[in-house]
Amino acid sequence: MAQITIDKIEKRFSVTKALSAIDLTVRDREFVVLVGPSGSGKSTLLRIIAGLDFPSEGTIAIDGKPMMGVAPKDRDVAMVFQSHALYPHMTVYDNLAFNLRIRGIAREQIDVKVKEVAARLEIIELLKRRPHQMSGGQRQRVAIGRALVRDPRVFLFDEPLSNLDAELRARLRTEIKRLHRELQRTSVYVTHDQIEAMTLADRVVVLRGGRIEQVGAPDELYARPANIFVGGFIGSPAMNLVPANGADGSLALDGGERFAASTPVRGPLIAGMRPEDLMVVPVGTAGSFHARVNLTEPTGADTLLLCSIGAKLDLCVRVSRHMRAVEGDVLTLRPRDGSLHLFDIESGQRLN
Amino acid sequence: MRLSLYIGLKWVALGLWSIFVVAPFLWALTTSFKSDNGVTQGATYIPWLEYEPTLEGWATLFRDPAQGGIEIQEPYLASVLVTAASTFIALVLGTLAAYGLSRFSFRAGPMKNSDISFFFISQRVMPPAVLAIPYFLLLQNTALLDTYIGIVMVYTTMLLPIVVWVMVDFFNTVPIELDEAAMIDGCNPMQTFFRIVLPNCGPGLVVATLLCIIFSWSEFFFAMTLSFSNVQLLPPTVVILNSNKMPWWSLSASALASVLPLIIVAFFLERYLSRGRLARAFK
Repeated sequence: MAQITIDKIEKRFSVTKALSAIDLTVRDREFVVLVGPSGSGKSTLLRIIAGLDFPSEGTIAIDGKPMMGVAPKDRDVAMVFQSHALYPHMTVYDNLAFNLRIRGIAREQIDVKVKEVAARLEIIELLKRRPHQMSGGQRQRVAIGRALVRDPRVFLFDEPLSNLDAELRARLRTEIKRLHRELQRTSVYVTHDQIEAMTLADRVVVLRGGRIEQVGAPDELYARPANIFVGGFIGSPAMNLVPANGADGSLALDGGERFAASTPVRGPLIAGMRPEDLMVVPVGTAGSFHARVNLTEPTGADTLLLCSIGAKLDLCVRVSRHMRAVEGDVLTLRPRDGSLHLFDIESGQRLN
Repeated sequence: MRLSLYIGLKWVALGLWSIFVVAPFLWALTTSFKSDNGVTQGATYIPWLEYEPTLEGWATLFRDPAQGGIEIQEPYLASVLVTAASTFIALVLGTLAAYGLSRFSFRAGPMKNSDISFFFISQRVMPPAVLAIPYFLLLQNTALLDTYIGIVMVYTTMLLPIVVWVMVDFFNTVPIELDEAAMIDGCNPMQTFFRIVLPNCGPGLVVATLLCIIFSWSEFFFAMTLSFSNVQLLPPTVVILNSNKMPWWSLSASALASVLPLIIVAFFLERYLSRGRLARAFK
C-alpha cells in the first residue's frame, strides 16, 4: 500500500527554477513514468520523493503521511540509479544484503531473502563477484535486486537503463515491467526515452522546464496530446507539425496545399499529423493533398518517406514496406479520420 | 627495438637514482659497524675484507648511559608515542573534515568549499619559524610547554591540512550516488561514511597516514623549540648526538635506527597504494 501525493511542489536552485507548481498523485500500485528532455526537472522530482532533495515549497506525502523532515532511510523507498551505484568494496551478495543488515534483520532471514531475489533475477552465479567484475547489464540487474530485497513500499528508478546498449535496454525494460506486474508495488520511473515511458507506464507524466505538460495513459498521450510539445515529444518518428491556415471546412498548409478538414478556428494554427496517420489515397479523394517524395528510408516492417509540400515543408509519412515509392514521386495523402491534431500557434495548446 | 631501448634507458635512470639514494645509507650502514679507527682510514665498504666489523656501535643503543650507552631509548619511545597520537588524531579529524568539504556546501563569508580547502593547505605555506614563537607563548600560557599534550596538539595542527588536502581529493572520486544509495538503504550519515565511503578510500587513507608519519616522525623544529627535558623527541636527540663527541658508530647506528620505522611503515603500506584498484572500482 502506498500512494504518493505531491502537492504544489516548487524547487529553486540559487537562480534557476527546477520545478514549479507540481501537483501529482501516484496511486497505489501504479507505475508512473516521468519523462522529459534533460533539464525538465524529472530527476529532481524523483529525488524529492526519495528524500535526497528538498522542495523549496510544497509538500509530499506517502500514504497521507507528510514526508517533511523524514530521512530517506525512513521513507521505505528503494531506488535504482542510472550509474547503478553498487558498493565497489562489497560482493554482490553483500550489496544485496547490506540494507537488510543495516536494518538489523537476522542473518538466516537475510540469506533466504538474498537467494530468493538472486534466483528471481537469475544472478545466483554472480553472488561472489564484485561490481567491477561484471558487465553493465549484470550490474544494473544487481542494482534492481538491491531494491527488491527490501520489499519497499515504493520503487524509484532514475534512468536505470540509460547506460546500457539497445538490446539490453529492451530486455531489462521487459523484465522491469514483468516485475511490476508480479510485485504490484507503487513505482516512479524517470527516463528521457519516450519509448521506455510508453511501454512501461500505467500513466506517463510529461515534464518540460520544471512544469507538467500532460499526465495520462500512454495511448491517451499518443492519441490526444494536450499541446505541441507533448505531440512532438511522444512518438517516433515524431509527429509532423505543419504551420497551416484554418478556414471554413478546410485547411491550407504552408506549402500551398489545401484540403478539406473540420477546424474549430480560422486563421493561422499548427496542424499535427503522425507519420502513420497519413494514408496514400487515389488522386482526387476528398480531403487529400499532394506531397513529393524526397527520400525513402526502409526500416524493415515500414518504410519512412520524407516528403515536401511546395518548396520547403518537410513531412514524414510511414507506409508499409510493400509500397514502392521512389524519389520524385508525387503522393496523394489524406490524414486518417479523427487523427488530425490542431494546436494554437501562440500558446501551443490543443484546439480540437 | 624502440621499446627495449626505452626499457634500457629506464633501468639506467633508475639505477643512477638508486645509487644516489642508497649510497648514503650504505655509508651510514658500514660506518655503524666500524670502530673509530676504521672510519678514519678512508672510505671502505666491504666488511671483513676492507675492515673488521663490530657490533659495538649498535650495542651502545641498548646500553645504559652510565655504562657508555647513549640516551636514545626514551626519545625513541617518546617519538613513537607522539607520532602515533598526532597521526591518529589528525586522521580522525582530517577525514571527517574532508568528507564534509567533499559532500556538503559550506559558506564562510565569501569563502566556498574550494576556498576553505585551500585555506587548510595554506596553513602549511608558513615556515615553522614564523609559528614557533606564537606556539611557544601559547603553550607556555596554557602550561602545556614541554608536555606530550602540547606537542601532540602542535603536531596535529601541522598534520591536519595534509590529511584534509589528500582526503578531499579522494572523497571527490567516490561518486555521490554511493552515499545516496546508502542513505536510501538505511544508513545514517555516520554509517554512510564509515561503511561505504571510507572503505572505498583505502589508498587515500594510506597516503595520508604515510605523510603524517613521515612529517611527524622527522619533524625537528617544533620538537627542538617546544620540548626540552620532560619530553625529548628523537630528531633533536640525534642532532645533539652529532654535536657531542660521540663515536661514529653510535651516531650512524642511531641515525639508521631513527629511519627504520619509516622504512617498515612504507613496506607495509606500499601495497595498498596502487591507484589502479581505485580507478577500476567506480566504472
